[in-house]
Amino acid sequence: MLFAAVTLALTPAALPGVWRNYNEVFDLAKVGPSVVAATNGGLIEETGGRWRSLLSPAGLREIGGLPPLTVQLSDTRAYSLRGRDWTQIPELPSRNRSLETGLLLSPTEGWPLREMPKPAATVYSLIRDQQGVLAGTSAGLMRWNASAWIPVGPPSALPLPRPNGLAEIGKDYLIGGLGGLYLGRPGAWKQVSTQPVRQILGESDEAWVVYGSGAVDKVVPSQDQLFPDVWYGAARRPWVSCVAEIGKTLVFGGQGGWIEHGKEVTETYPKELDGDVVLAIEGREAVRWVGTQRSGLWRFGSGQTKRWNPGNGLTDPWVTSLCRVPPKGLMVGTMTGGLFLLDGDTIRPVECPTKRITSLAIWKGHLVVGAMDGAWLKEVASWRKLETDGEETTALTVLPSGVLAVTTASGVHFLAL
Amino acid sequence: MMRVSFSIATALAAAACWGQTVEQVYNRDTNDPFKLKSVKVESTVVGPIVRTSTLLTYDNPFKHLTEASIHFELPDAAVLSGFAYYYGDEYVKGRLMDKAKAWFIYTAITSRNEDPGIMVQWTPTEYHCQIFPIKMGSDFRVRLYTVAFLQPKADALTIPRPSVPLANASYSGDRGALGALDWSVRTVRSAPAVQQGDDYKLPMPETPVRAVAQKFKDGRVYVAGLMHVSQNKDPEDPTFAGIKNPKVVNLDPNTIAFMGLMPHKRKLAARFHGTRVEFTPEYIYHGSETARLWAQQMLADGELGTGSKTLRFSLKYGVPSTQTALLAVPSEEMKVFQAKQREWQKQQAEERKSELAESREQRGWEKNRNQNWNNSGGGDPEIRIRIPGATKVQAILPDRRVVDLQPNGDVWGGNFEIPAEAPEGIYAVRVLAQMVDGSTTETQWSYTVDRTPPEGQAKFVFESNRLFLEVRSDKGLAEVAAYGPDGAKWVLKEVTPGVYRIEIPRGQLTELTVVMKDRAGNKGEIVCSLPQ
Repeated sequence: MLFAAVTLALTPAALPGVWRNYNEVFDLAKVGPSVVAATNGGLIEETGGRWRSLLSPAGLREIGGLPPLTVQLSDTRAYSLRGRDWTQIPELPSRNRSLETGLLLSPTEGWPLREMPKPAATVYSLIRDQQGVLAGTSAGLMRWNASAWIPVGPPSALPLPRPNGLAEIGKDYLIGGLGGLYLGRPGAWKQVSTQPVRQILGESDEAWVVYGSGAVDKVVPSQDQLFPDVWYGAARRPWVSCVAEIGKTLVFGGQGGWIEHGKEVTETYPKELDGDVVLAIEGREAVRWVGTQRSGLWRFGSGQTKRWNPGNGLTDPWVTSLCRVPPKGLMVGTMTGGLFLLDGDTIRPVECPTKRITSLAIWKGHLVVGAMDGAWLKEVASWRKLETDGEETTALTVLPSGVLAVTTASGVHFLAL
Repeated sequence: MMRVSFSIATALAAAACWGQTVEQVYNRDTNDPFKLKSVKVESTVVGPIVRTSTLLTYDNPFKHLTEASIHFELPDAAVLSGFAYYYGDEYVKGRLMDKAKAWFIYTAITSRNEDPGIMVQWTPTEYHCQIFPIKMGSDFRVRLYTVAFLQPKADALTIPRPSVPLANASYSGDRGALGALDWSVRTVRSAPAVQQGDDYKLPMPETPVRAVAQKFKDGRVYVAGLMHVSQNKDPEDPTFAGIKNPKVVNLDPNTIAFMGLMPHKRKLAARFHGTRVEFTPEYIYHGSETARLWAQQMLADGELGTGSKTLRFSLKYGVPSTQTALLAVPSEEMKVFQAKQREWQKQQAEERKSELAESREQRGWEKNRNQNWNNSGGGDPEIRIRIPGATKVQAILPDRRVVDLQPNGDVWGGNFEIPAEAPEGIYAVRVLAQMVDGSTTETQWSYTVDRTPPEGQAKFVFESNRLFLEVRSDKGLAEVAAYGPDGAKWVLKEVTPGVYRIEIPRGQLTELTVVMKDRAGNKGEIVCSLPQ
């Protein structure tokens, strides 16, 4: 009965509008005849042999006392479901642990079941239900069928946990995260690279992928081509930290400067940016606004170089994102100082529900702010929280179809106005 | 230069002016020779060069599956431009490809007792071919295509004559009687060839240089020619003007063959014995003969080294090399061929991917990467840990998650996430390694999640009429910086633990904002007014 209430309270996560990954299962528990599992994509529930997904926080690690439903996240915070809301509680209530109620296994402990072999993956939890033994593993949920472990559970629409970027190219999607880079669509993903991905920029029929290592690949899915390390050997400083599209020019920010790839390739390394990392870049004609990790915001290319930092209004010099707001403004997102508007040479803070901004985008004339604690859309005089479960926003992408893809630590939310 | 002197020696030894010299054709299982039934030769002379197509037909008496082996040689100044064989009546043409790929496919098909042929280069002038199995009840027929130069002989130029023994399976020098040739010759833009005895001869050109040029598919023009050099012994001669990367092979003491690229269509010049000779090559149609003759010498000289560069060059010009092979597959085996080709491409893609990942690992970008953090406010750092002799390494994170680390030599690595909301504290990451001897070792390192911004006091200090800003805060901060109202930034130095200082220029400044940043990224701020 408990989970009937949960189901009513929460929106099913398996809606076409959300892609999640359930490939890591950390804990299992029983609620009446049902088994629930804490996965990296949220809570899932089995009823009558069928699995379905329930929306809940990402980073679930443990299921506590029942009822009420309590959970612990990877950051050690504990929550209790009260009514329709999750409420933080001081600590996770303990529950009786056994194979019947759900065992937690340590990777260094021996395998406890003599009657069956260990699955070929890290086993986090075990439970016995009416159909036999179920294992929560690093390769998903598995059920012992008397001779072998077979995968069960809802299919993962995402090929990897914690995506960092997305691009829609033709009929396919390119998605990247800590688990590498994948091309395809739910149910048919193909791994392109195992390298952790930092950012993806789609541009008509191709995409540019910035990796955590600083390498950049160009991917052209229609031709099944990958151009690896495009700047290695081609640029003086091939280490790249971000990519942006300014008009018809691609701009790659890096260590102490940036590379522009338009009709020609140009490299700019101003002495003012020595030793700093470019995290965001925007522009208009010859003007380049450059957001850095340590020295705030810079403007180059319109006469005298200008800078904004805590001395003149930008209270946080760690700029994470930039977004032009016509006719002449520039929105500046910072890691801890919130949102700012640069209008001419004057910068001022903008009221915003979050201080920890990770990304900015313009979607159908609205400013969208992605942050460590959710995503918001600016309406005329107010902010509207987007339905992304308050998860950390890792990227905002306006797809060619006009849909906004909010990539979060737990999945991808596709939103339409 | 080494190539020239080598060529003189071989050319003198091969004064008989042989073209394709077939050494042995035999059954690889029994070592019995195949008996020659006929040799049909078609030679086309184009200026100083000659294209030759030779069809060798052997009796095939074998009543069981037989693998045939052919070994043949070419002159130094010649190139193999193609190979084919007949599978019954089907003409099966060899395709030039990566040698490893060709053997991969050949082995896959022969294991089904089906019938591909493969030809590889042993030395720049020696080739070996295997065909398995030969179709029972059909003659064994092989076709060779070559391009070579006319050969100087007495006062004329002769067409290189294929030499094929009637039956030979031995590697000894005696090849026995040679087979008669059914030889047809035609000439293009040359004087007619006249048969004299066993040879076809053309008159010596009236000019000391005779050359032809062709536009290759890469858009560049390649030239090949013969030059009379009268007792040339100077390895520095001749030199050329207008020819890029020229290659020279001595055919006899008075004649050289040369080839190269022509960057511009213009008169060319050669200098030998101090004499300059200008000449204009005859431009013929688009074709590949001159380019292939030049490419063959580039490969023979080993200028490209080994490996992928040689492979690419060889494939571009369609010239066999140490990195390539000619693979001929009958149409009924094409499905297997294509499947195996796809399998090969997949394997290659995997290898390239792994090489790419390795090369990325080796780049000196580590300073920009977040590795083994020990202080953080959240993020996705990279674990990199050296464990020689490990077969599997896993990192157990504080939240129970297990990350399989990937090897790169002795270094194992992977990324994980420190949750953005992780409370302050010290967290341990356990790294378990399974060693080759079956034992397990454990390494541990910890990181601190710190969310407390540093605090401090700032004051201005006058010393020797100079103004200093002094900030007292935690020791070892990542950065302490002062910002002026115009955005000017001064980074303070830690002069003693916890004391940060910098001289401030005295001027219009009225106020400074001091930002203290710790190694976890927490920031504390002080605003201070300058004394009047």
